[in-house]
Amino acid sequence: MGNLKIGIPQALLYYEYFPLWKNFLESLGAEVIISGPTTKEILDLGVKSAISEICFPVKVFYGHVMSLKDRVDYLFIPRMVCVEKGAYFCPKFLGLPDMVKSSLSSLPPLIEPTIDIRKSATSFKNSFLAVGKLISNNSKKIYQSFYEAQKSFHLYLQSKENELNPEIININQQYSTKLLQNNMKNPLNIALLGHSYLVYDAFINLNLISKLKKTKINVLTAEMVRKQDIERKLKRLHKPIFWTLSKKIVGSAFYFLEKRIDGIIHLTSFECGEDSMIGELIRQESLKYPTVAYTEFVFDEHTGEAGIDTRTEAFLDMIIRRKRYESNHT
Amino acid sequence: MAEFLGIDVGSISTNLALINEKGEVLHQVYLRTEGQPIEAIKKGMAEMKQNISLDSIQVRGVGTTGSGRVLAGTVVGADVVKNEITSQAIATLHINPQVRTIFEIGGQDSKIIILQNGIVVDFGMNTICAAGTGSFLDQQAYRLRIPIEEFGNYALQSTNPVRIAGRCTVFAESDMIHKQQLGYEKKDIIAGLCEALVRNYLNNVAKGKKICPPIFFQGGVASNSGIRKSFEKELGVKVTVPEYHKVMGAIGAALLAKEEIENTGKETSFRGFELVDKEYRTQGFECDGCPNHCEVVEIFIEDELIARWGDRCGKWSLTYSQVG
Amino acid sequence: MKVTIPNLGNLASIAGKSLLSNLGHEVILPPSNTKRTLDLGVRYAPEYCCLPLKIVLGNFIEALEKGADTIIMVGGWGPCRFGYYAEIQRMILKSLGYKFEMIVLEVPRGNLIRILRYVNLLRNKQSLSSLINAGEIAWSKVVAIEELEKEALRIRPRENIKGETSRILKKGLSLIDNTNSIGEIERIKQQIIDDFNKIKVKKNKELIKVKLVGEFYVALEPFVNHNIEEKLGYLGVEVERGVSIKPWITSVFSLNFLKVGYQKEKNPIEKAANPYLPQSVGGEGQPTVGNVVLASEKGFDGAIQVVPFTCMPEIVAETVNKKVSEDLDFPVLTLIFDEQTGEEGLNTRLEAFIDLLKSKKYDRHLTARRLAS
Repeated sequence: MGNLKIGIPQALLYYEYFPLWKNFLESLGAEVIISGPTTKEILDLGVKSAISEICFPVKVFYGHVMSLKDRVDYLFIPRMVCVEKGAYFCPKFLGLPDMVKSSLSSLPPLIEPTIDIRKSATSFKNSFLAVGKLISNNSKKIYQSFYEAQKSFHLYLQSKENELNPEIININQQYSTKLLQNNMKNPLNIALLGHSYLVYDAFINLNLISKLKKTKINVLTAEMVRKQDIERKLKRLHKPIFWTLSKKIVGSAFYFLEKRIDGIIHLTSFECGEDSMIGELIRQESLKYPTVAYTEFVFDEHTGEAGIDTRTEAFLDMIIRRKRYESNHT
Repeated sequence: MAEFLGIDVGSISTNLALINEKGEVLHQVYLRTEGQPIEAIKKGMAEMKQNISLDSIQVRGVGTTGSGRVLAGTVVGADVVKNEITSQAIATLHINPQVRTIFEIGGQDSKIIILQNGIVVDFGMNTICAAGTGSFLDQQAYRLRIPIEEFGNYALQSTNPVRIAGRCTVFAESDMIHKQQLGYEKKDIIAGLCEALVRNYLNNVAKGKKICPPIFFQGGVASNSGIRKSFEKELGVKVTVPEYHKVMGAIGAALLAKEEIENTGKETSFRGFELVDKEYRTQGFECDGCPNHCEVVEIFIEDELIARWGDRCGKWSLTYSQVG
Repeated sequence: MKVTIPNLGNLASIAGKSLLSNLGHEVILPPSNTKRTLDLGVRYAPEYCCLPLKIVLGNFIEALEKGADTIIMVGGWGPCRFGYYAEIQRMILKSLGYKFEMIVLEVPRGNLIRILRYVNLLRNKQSLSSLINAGEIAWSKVVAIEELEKEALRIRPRENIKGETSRILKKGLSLIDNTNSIGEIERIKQQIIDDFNKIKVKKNKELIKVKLVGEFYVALEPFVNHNIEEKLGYLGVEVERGVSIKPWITSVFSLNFLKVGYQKEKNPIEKAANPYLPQSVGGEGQPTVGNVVLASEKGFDGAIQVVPFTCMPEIVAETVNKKVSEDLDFPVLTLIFDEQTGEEGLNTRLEAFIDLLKSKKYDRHLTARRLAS
């Protein structure tokens, strides 16, 4: 058979796992097609096709699915449940393929392996082998690809670094992937924290990273903090957090607070369940560090550029004027 | 003499303030933007021109602020273009350096600014909907057929405000209609609306902020004494509405222009009051370079292109040099 | 130790109180949920967290004002936000300056010293036998309350005099509240059921049968759902609840501790959900879908799903239910509750939905009926 075209929507967990998914599918001989960066058209498609109560990022995901569906033989939408002990993904990730199938019609078949490390190793393997059988008849090759994928998945999960794979976004190295300690000497260090599908989707966050970069700000993200530092900071919590993605946000927020950088902007999306809880955790913790400015930006399909620009400017003004005041009074 | 001009272009109103070197307000103008910011700026400048003798003043610097600050800055040739939070804070601190909290409620957005030792330490803006903003009141006033200016007086007469539920205009409206049908008095309904706005403001915009006195309440809605009373009732402390509460943003922009000129010693880029007689034109086109289909806007003075923006990628952008 | 617990329909105020006072604690219940409870919760809770968190936070503030010094709350480990409520509430209450101890009941994980301390505080130096006795009494109260409430849901749409069923139910609940013997609870329950059966019922009434599914707290707390069960009863609707506190208690108190993780046999509700939502998504998400499928097979006319605004599992279920409803030609009404929910809008929606069910059931179009009358 010819090369099967498998579509991966460039939204949600794409920003966490794309390189792993791609390598697995390609090693089986499939052609991977992504929906590309979010555009207004994609956003409109998503808002139109999802129920209105659902959170903004899932609406964006729907838009990517819609823009891909007629160009591919299969859609790859894994059901991401659990990749570490004691933590899950958000319920909407657990039911993502089911939601997509329920509300969108004339879809190509879905490839939806369940990723849940709590289940037996065989069920994990079987879900992948089933995927392999769709693409290739060569069972030796399937097994090989599975073991490779499993190995790189485990390596990925165990690696100490947390850096962003350049395969995920290749917009001219807009930000460094690693946190360089000497970088912190930059005049203004601002951390942009939030789910990776908000922080790195320049369309949704209205180009926030480039805008900050343009004003000579050193932009820091959660991906620059080492996993062990994140884990260490999380120990301070009275009760552990049980969402994998939020752990990274909270842990890195605590890390940056302790480093006393100049400011933290928490990017959240409207109706995001996790954000509503961890926003409170970070806000309360930030009160203990009065020199670190903290603010929250909420994004949804109605977020206007003017509003975000005003907030950003006012936030930076506040920091700059405060610093000026402090240097005049000490 | 040296004077400084501040212009605040918001979605609902456009305000101008002229200050002298000591920061005293010489003249203020407050008018509706009505969706035509350039016309509003020209109208405001014309009104100012009529009320002051141009020979006795010399505008040394101009600052613009508000959601239309970039456009305004381009049109008048501003020396400084600042966001409205910084501008409001600067103006308030100029009037009273002790202020700790600013409530600012305008037409479509509202803000809270927390100050300490004369600097901004925290701020918040309304997030998604029109919760706790002026447009919430405007719409209900329209429904009740009462001019918005009289809203406050009605509210003050009430001794028994009705509880009106609803964050958004739509919810509040259906609840208000229901209360009307139950036969409540107008004044009690209006007082209820004022309380609803204050509650929404405190639960949304001001959530988690440390509100300390002295508190200044400014912006268009501050003229409404019913709202001020509701704030005082809810918080149990005095809330001050400053004299120039409607044009605080413009005053701040003027002060910032003064600061900028004094720090840099440069000449103003102000196009002068003559701009009132010039013909400004804006036109837009939809770029079809990518699926984003950005609306690109171009500004002309007498057929000369002076600025262009609106594209996400930046290939069209041509902004007025002082912007930023 | 002056303990308090959150309001939850009649269950917390009767069975919960019984358990704690039998352990020798002074119980200070929060006042019944009112607008003030809601206002307090809305003021101090994060804006986009769900309604149950806000109301329960309001309960705690009002109970602390009444003098409580220990809060008992249930917890969990995700993926639904519910598992983190207690922690957020604890943080907010601390930041408001309240002095209290919070005991969170959940499957233990980590910090064993803290857990042992909680257990000791709760046990209050009581012997094991009195502990078991207190548990048994509370459990029989739970069973009796749920059974009476269920019976009331069946009788209410048939009653001749409006309010008769609710009156008898109220009497029964107060009797149960005031007794402390298992035999007595059983007797009261029988007596009230007999009283129910004596209620004069209307003949030939067109009854509609609806399954009430959705998020646990919203479904069980009448203040939050605007008394939806009673409202529906008066509209001539027989309601059957899709949620119960019983399985929930067993999981919170870790009574199935040894079986945690892998359930070999899927229960019938999960099995029914399987074609549409094979994965548990936390909270009541999967059971909501399963219950809708089952209801369509068991002769119900429709289902009503109650959801707190921004609830993660129920939004998954709502999305999936659209497909279920379409495939099975089974009407499902989703009602979203938050602090904005107004009585009028809710009434309109319920009445319209019931009209829809009636015209579907009796194959009668609204226009045809209007012409006939």
